[in-house]
Amino acid sequence: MAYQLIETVEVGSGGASGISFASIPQDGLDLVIVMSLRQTNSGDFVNAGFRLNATTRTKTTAFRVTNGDSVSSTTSYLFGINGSSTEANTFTFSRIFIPNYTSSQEKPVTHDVFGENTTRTNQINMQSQRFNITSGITSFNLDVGGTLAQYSTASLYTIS
Amino acid sequence: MSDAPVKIVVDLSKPKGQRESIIELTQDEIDEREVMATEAQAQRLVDEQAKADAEATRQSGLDKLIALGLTEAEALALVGA
Repeated sequence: MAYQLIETVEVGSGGASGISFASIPQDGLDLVIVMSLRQTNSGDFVNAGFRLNATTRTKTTAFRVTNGDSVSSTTSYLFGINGSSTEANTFTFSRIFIPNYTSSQEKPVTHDVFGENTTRTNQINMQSQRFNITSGITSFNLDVGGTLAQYSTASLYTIS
Repeated sequence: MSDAPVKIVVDLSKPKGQRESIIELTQDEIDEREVMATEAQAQRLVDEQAKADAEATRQSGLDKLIALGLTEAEALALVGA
């Protein structure tokens, strides 16, 4: 098993409301997206979500564990990112793993999110879900409710 | 320069160094963000209710164990502190 870094993107001083990877190579076995994220909007953890092949809709109910509490969810592509109310320069860590991402089967996806907030409540969020996508994953979109802060990063890896 | 929100698009079909571009969101994308914000708020309420329900159930169980004669420490040991 070898990780291959395909691309890393870093948000510049102007911020951004999303990051997209398009035309993902189809020559790997598994796909991993690792992100370090913060938003400039006020709040402890500000809304964000991701899409695969531009969709969030066609998926099964997901299992989600948030700070030790488990719930079923139909919107588990959503998660929180450190907002400006959290300690300065603190970024949320997010890792999305999609095995066998080029297959014609539905795509199981796991997502781990860890957000530090020293003044109030930390966030630990683990989710698993199945996207009802039966073609290879060719694009990934991160959408945020506000504006991604400078130095936020997203890296896309394939595993072969 | 417009104040419209922008996104960073990385086209992996292009050679390294030429992949990244910054483009304004379309109206559809802006609308999608609003839908997502609404869903996120709904999800937050579901999570908070689930947490409150779990805590209420736990406390109810704790109270019943204490009513049976267990000390609070013994009851907590059974249900988890």
